[in-house]
Amino acid sequence: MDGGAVLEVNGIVKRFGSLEALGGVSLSLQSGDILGLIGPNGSGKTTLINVVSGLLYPDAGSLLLYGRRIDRLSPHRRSHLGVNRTFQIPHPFTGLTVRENIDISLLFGRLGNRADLDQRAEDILKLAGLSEFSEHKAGNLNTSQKKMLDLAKALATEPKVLLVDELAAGLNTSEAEAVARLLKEVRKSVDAMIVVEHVMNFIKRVTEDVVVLDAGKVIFSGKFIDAVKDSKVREVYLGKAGGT
Amino acid sequence: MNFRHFFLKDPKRMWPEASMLVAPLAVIFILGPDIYPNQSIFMELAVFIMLADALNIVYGYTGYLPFGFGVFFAVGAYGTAILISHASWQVAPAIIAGACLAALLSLLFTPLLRLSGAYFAISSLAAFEAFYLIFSNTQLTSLTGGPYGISFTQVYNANLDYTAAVVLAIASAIVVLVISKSTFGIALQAIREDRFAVELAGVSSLRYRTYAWLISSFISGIAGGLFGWYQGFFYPEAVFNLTEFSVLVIVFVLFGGKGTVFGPVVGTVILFLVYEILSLTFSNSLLIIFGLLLVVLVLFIPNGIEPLLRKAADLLLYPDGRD
Repeated sequence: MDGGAVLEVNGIVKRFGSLEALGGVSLSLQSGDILGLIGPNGSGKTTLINVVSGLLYPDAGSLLLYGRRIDRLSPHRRSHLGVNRTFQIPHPFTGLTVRENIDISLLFGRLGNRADLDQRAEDILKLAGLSEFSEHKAGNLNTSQKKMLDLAKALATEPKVLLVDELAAGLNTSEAEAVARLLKEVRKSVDAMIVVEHVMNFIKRVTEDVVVLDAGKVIFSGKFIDAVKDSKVREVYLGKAGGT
Repeated sequence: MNFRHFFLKDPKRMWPEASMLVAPLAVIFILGPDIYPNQSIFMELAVFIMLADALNIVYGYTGYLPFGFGVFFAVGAYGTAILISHASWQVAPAIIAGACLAALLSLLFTPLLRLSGAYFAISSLAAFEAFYLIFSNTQLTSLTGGPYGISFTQVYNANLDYTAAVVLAIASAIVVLVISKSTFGIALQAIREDRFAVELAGVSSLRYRTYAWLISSFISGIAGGLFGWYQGFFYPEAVFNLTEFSVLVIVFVLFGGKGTVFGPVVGTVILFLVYEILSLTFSNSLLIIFGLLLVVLVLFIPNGIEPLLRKAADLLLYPDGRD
């Protein structure tokens, strides 16, 4: 890259009726960045991921991917340009096999072609630890495996920016550790990542850089170790008494 | 269509299923009229198989149920009739042109594909009614025959029409089989399962639903043209028949198993024959009996009979279970 931002989120506003879920959120990702996006329930983390991935359109503000505006593009166009995501609640195609789930992303994703389809699918299944379930129906996987499949589907589109929405939520400690290791591995193949997470220990393992959201606004942007000392952050997580 | 996205995943595995589709249908359509000498019933069966396969593509594979689906059938019938009676076209090109007209009409309806669920189902019904009013309008009597119907008996040839309908009914079943074994079909199934997640995989759900819609309306248009040709003369109500060419077809597909290759064909053969037998013996209470039968079927086998038949076939072929 020529030093420009990979992804720029500028003053994004998203309203649902009278509720302002995002009130002018701005952040920027450079090549190689992994940004932890944290905040209490209802702070707007998933809404922001939905806006960046194209499932929601913003009411104001702009999104730039390598300097190109993408905020009015459909999700499949953004996927072709290199933006992809996982879901907090996984979205596998339950009636299709695990391999077919991956194949769709490989065939229709950013580079979308048939070249080395089997090899590429095997590599991704191996990375996600799903090789032995290749011919299983995705609906028969357990929650942890479905989350891995979600990640594998996103990776199969060969994204440049990956948005990971609470991948470790609901997983036990060893599963979460495996996911953290996996994300570090994934980091090598993408240009930048945003990792949304509730579990602080998980974020700590994945990145040092965090943005804290509260009520749809950025209240902190910086290093994780500074965030835990920040009075505003402590207040939204622990209540007023926590800050004193 | 971007053909780099359309290829058969495992062509070799297609042949056994293709022969399992073709052989029984060929037997039914060749021997059927000898056993029960009423060709028109088997002609209607062929038309219904085409319609069930066409509906299966759009409803079974993409999950979008158009209640007014029969409009494409009617437009195909009218397109064929008008081209033969007014422009003296040969039958084959007239039927193809009629089907193209139906497909073209479906393109006009593509904004409806942005709707979902009941909104889509009901808006297609409104389109059906609108076109019924247009084609049956007295202002258009010189072109469509208006409420008095349209006649093109000069090309009537029942045997040739029957042969064409049988071949094309089998062909439509093969089209569904090919779609199911292709990457295009897998993308359609993914759209049916989750239209947001499929977009993230890079599939334009609107574009692929449009392709499915086009294929489906073209097959329906062909069925309409063949049906019209067999009649030689029809009133608007005969082809704009919501009960027969929309609701009944939906029932056949549901009964057989939507989104499967064999389900709509098997469902149509069984229920259509039941319908015909009931109409001979209980003509007065036909719809009541048929309705009750359907309630029972929907309650006890909501996924249709295809999964049951598949299990039965597995038990017969692999009594010790698959390895």
